[in-house]
Amino acid sequence: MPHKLTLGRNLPTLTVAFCLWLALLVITGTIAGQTDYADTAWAALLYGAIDGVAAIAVTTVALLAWRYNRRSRFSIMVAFGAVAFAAGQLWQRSAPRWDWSHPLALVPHLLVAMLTLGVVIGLVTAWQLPATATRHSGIDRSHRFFWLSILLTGLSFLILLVTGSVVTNTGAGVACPDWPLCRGEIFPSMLTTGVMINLLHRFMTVAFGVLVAAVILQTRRYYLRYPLIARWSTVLGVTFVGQIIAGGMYPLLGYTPVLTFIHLGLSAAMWGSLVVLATVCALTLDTPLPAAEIGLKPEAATLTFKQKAGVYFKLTKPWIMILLLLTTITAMVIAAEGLPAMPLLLLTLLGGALSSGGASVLNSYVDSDIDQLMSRTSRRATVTGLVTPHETLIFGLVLSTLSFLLFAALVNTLSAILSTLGILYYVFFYTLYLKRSTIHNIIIGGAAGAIPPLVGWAAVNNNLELSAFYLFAIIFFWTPPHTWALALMVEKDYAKARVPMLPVMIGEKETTYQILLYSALLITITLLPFTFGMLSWFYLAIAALLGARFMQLAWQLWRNYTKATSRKLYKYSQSYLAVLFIIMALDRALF
Amino acid sequence: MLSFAMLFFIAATVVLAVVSVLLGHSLIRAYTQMGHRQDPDHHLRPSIILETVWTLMPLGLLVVLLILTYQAI
Repeated sequence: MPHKLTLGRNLPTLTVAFCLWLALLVITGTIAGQTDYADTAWAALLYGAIDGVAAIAVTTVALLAWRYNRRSRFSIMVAFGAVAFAAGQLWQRSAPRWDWSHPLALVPHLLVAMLTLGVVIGLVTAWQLPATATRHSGIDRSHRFFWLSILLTGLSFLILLVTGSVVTNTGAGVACPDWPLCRGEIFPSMLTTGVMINLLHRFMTVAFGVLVAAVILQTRRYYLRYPLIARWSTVLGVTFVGQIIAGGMYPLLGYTPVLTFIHLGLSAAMWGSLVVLATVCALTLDTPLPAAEIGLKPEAATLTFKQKAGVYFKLTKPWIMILLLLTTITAMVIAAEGLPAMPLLLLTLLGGALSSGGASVLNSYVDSDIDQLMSRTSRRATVTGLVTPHETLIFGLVLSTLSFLLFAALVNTLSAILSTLGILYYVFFYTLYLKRSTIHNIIIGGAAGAIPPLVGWAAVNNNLELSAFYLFAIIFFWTPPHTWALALMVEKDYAKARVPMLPVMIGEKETTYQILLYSALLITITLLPFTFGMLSWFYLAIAALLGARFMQLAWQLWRNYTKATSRKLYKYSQSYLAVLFIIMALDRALF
Repeated sequence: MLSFAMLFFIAATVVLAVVSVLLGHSLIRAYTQMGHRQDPDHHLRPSIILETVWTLMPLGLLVVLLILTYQAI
C-alpha cells in the first residue's frame, strides 16, 4: 500500500462532506449552548446528533489511517490526536462537574472542537497530496517566512476565536454597540470588562487581518505555481472579507442565531483553509525559491543606518505621496471653508503619508517581478536587492496598519475606513488584478489615487458631499491621459513585462485618440464645480486656461505622435493637477 | 430664464455626452481590432465582457455626478 490513502474518486467529496459535518458541529454546538438560545430545542437536538456522528467519523478516520497509512508517522500522530480531541469533547459534555450555565463554559468546548476540525482537515489534506510529498526533507529555508506567517495567522485565529466566543457568551457585545469603534471612540473613557473584551477581540481582528494580508500577498507574489496554496489562500481572503462583513452586521442586526451561524461557519472555513495551507506547506515546500526572488545583494549589508533609511523612504514613492497629500489638503481647505485646525491637518497628513507610503511599498513588493523587466522601475530597491522581500512586506504592512490606527484613534472612523479601502483597493484590486488583466487597468485603478481627497474631506466634516466627489472625479479622469502618456514613452517595457497597457494592446494611434477623449472629459469636469457654487470665477478662469493648454497638448499628441509629444503631455499633466488643486484651495480660502 | 450656471451645466453635459459616445465607439473599434489579432499570448487577450463593464463604470460615475450637480444647481 502506498503512503497515499486511495479511496478512489470519491475521496474529495468525502473530505468536503466530513469537514462540513464538523463545521456544522461547531456551529450548532455553540448556538445550542449559548445562554440566549438555551430554549432552542432544535439546535440542542441537532447538536447532539451531529456530535455523535462526528465522534464516530473521527474514530473512523483514525482507524483508516492506522489500516492504510501506518508507515506515515505524521498521519498516525494527527489521526490519534483527533481522536484525543474528540474524546476530550465527549468527556467535557458528560462531565458531571462541568457547569454549562457558566458563561465561559462553551469557550474551551468550541476551541477543542475547532482543533479537532483542524487536525482532521490536516490529515485528509495530507492524504490528498502526492505520495512523494510525505517523503520530503523538510521545509526549505526560503519558505520559512511564509510558513511562519501561516502559523502566526493560525495562532491569532485561535485567540480571535476565544475572544469572540467570550464576547458572544458573556453578552459583552452590548458593551460596544457600534463598529468598528466602541461608543464612538477607539479607547472609550469607561473601560468596563465588557468593553475590554470587545476591544481585545477587535484588536485581534486587525492583527489577524494584517497576517491574512501577509499570507495572501506572499502567495500572489511567490506561490501561484502551487495550485493548492493559491486556491486556499484565496478562500482564506474571501472568507475573511465575509467575516468582517458578518461581524459588522452584529451591531445592526443583533446577536441572532442566523448571524451567529454565518459568523461561525465562516470562522470554520477560515480555520480549514489555514490548516490546508499549513499542511501543504509542511509537506511540499522542500525545494528553494529561485535565488533571484529572495536574494539580498552583498552591498545591502554595508549600508549605514542613514542609507538604509533612505532606501526605505524611497520605497514609499515620496513624489506620489506629495501629490496625494496636496489633494488631501485641498479637500480639507474646501471642506473647512478656510484653513482647518492645525492639529487635525497635521494628523490627517501624517495618516495620509503612512497610508500612501504603505500602499506604495506593498505595490513594490507585489510588482517586483515585473519591475525587474522594465528599465523605468529596474532600479527600485525591491529589484536591486537592497531590501529583502520580507522586509518590504513587513514595512508596507506596518505603515498601512499605523495609518488605520492613527485615523481611527485621532481623526475619525470614516477617514480610517476610506484610507484603508484606498490601500486595499490599490494593492489587492489594482496591483494584483486589474493591472495584469485588463486594458482598463489604470482607468478603474485610478480610483485608488482619487481617494485621498475623500479622506481629507471626511477628516474635516465626517461626511462626504458633492464637492468631495468632484475632487474624486477630477483625479479619476486625470489618471488615464497622464498614465497613457507615460505608457506611450515606455511601451516596450510594458510589453516585455506583459502588462496590458493601452498602447501595447490597441496601438499608439488609438491610444492617443483615447487620451484626447479622456482629456476632454477631464477638462469639462474641472469646470463644473463653478456651476453649483463650490468654487468661484477665479477658479473657473484659471481652470479653463490650464485645461485649454492640456487639450492643446493632447491634440498635438493625437495629430503628431512622437515620444517628445507624449513626454510633453506627461510632464504637463503632472504639474497641471498640482496647480489645479492649489488654485482650488486658494479660491476657497480667498473668495 | 435659465441662469448662467444652468446654461453652463447644459453645455458641459452635451460635451460629456458627445465625448462619451465617441469613447464608446472608439473602444468598440479597438475591441474588434483585438478580436482579429492572432495573438498566441493568452495573457494579453482580455475578456470583452469585462472590458465592457470597465468601460461603463466611468460613464456611470459621470451620470451620477451630473444628476447630483443638477440637483445642487
